[in-house]
Amino acid sequence: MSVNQCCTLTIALLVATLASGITGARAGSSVPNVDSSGPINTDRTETAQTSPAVPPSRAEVRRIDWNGDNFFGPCQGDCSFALYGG
Amino acid sequence: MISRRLVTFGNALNIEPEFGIGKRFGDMNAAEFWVAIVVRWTAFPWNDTIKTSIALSDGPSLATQVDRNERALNDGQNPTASILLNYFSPEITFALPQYPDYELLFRFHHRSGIFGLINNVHEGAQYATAGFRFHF
Repeated sequence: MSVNQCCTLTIALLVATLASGITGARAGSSVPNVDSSGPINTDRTETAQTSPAVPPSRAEVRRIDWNGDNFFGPCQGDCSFALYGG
Repeated sequence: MISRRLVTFGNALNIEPEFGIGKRFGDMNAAEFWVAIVVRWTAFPWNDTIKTSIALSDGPSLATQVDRNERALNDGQNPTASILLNYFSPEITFALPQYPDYELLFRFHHRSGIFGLINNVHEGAQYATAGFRFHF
């Protein structure tokens, strides 16, 4: 497999999974996503209580977990070390 | 290679700065140092069966020397080559759900001059690699 084929395959896979992730997202729900496969979320934006008849705004469903305040502090499961070769 | 999560969007997309050191063996002898920004997608519907992530890394890569084999890749384009090139690395990882901190990693370790943008270099040393990642 050439480099271009490898990159093309990876990008295509990323686009496909992005699409599936967006489809599966709980857009509009006030219940936080508690998917255990993701990272620890400590300061995610709380969603507001809204009437079922009123769709939530984009800002309400957006969640950003910023780790910059602790970036140079002790690791809390958010650091990784990898050893590989080939 | 070490990295740390900086921000996560939607519990699915991570941005992770990374710092790495590599050593070539065999026909090549240079050491490599790189810093990169990693964009990682973690939300897969089969994560309860096998935890998966895919990532793309990009950043500058510095080699301690231009190995003969790496220089030969650019014969006719730029015989001088360059110790500073771009690092680009697509990656996929797998982990058992009960041991999410231990991942099997497959990464394409790629160095290039971005189609001649850096010192007119087109190709650099690159490797298909496999290894382990530990989260702590």
